[in-house]
Amino acid sequence: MAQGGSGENGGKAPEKPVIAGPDKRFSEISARIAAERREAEAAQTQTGQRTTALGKTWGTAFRLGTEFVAAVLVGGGIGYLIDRLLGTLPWFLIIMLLVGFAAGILNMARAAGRVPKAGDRLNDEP
Amino acid sequence: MANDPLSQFQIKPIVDMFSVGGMDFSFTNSSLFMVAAAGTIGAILFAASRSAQLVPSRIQSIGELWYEFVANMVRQVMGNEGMKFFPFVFTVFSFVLMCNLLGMFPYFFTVTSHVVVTAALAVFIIAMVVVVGLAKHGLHFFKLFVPSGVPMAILPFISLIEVISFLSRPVSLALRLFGNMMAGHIVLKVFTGFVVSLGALGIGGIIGALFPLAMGVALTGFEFLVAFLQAFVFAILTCVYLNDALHPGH
Repeated sequence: MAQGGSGENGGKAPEKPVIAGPDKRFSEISARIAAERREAEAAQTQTGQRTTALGKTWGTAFRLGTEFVAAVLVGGGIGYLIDRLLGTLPWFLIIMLLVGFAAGILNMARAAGRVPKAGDRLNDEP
Repeated sequence: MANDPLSQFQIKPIVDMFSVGGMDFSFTNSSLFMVAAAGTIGAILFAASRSAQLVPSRIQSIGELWYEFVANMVRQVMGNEGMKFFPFVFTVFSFVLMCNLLGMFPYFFTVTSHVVVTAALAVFIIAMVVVVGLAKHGLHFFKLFVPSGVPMAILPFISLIEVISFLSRPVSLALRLFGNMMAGHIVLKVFTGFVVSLGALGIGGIIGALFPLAMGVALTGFEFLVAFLQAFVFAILTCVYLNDALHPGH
C-alpha cells in the first residue's frame, strides 16, 4: 500500500494571518489561538493516522484471501473462454488456471507490500 | 419472515414497470434500499451543512468527521492532487457504507449482499481507472503490464500474469464486499434462528438458547464492524487503483 508519503500533513488548514492591530492583547490572543490550533491539529492527525493504520491492517487481512481467489477465477474463466472459442476444451483451462494461480500469488505478495506495485513502473521513463 | 437464512436475500418487485428485451426493470426492494441509502446520505449531509457554525452542532460534527475521514484517506493514498477524485471516492464510500449499515436493521434488505450490485460498482471503478490512465498517459499506460528489465524470453509470460492480475481487481473488489456481507448476514440469521428453534423445546431449550443468543449479540457487533470495514476497504482500494492510473510515482 502506498504508505510512502504519509509523513507530511502540511498544507492542510491554512494558518489565519495574525492581524497586526493596535491592540497588543488581540495579537497575543491570536498567537495563542494559532498555537493551540496547531497543537490540536497535530494531535488529531496523529490519532487519525493511527486509526487509518488499524483500518489498513484489517483491510489487508480481508484482502489477501480474495485477491488470490479472484486471480485464479479470472485465469480459469479466460482459459474456459478460449477453449469455448477454439474447441480445445481442457487445455487452455488447465494452463490458464495455473497462470491465474501465479497471478494470485503475485496479487497477494503485492497486497502484503512485498512486491512493488505495477504502477511504479510507469515512472521509470516519463 | 421465513425462518430460513436465505430468504432475506430474495428480490421482490414492489412496483411492476416495463421490461426491455427480456430484462425486467421493475422497482424492487433492492432499488428501494438503494434509494433509501442515497436519501439518507443526502439528508444527513444536508442537515449537517444547513447551518454551519464555528462550534459545530452534533449533526455538523458527524458531517465534518465523515468528510475529514474520506479526505484524509484520499490524501494519504493519492496525495494532494488525488483530491480531484475526492467526490467520487466520497460517493462510493458513503453509498457502500450506508447500504451496509441499512442492512443491519432487522427486516431490511442488504443491497450489497448481491454480487450484481458490487460487481457493477467494481467494474465502474476499474473502467474509470483505465479511462483516467489512458487519458493521462496515453498508450504509455500499458507499460503497467510490461515490467522493465525482464528477459525477452519470459516477458510474454510475465505480461500475461500482470494482465490477469489487473483483471482480477474488479473480481476481488466485488467478491470481497459481496461475500462478507452475505456470509455475515447468513451466519447472523442461522445463530438467531437457533434461539427460536431451541426456545420451542421447553425449559431446557430456553436455557440452551441463551448461548446462540449471546452469539447473536456478539455477531451483531461484529457485523457492524464488518459493515464499516468493508466500505472502508472498498474505498481505499478505489484510491489505490486510481493512484496506479493517476500518479504512478510513489
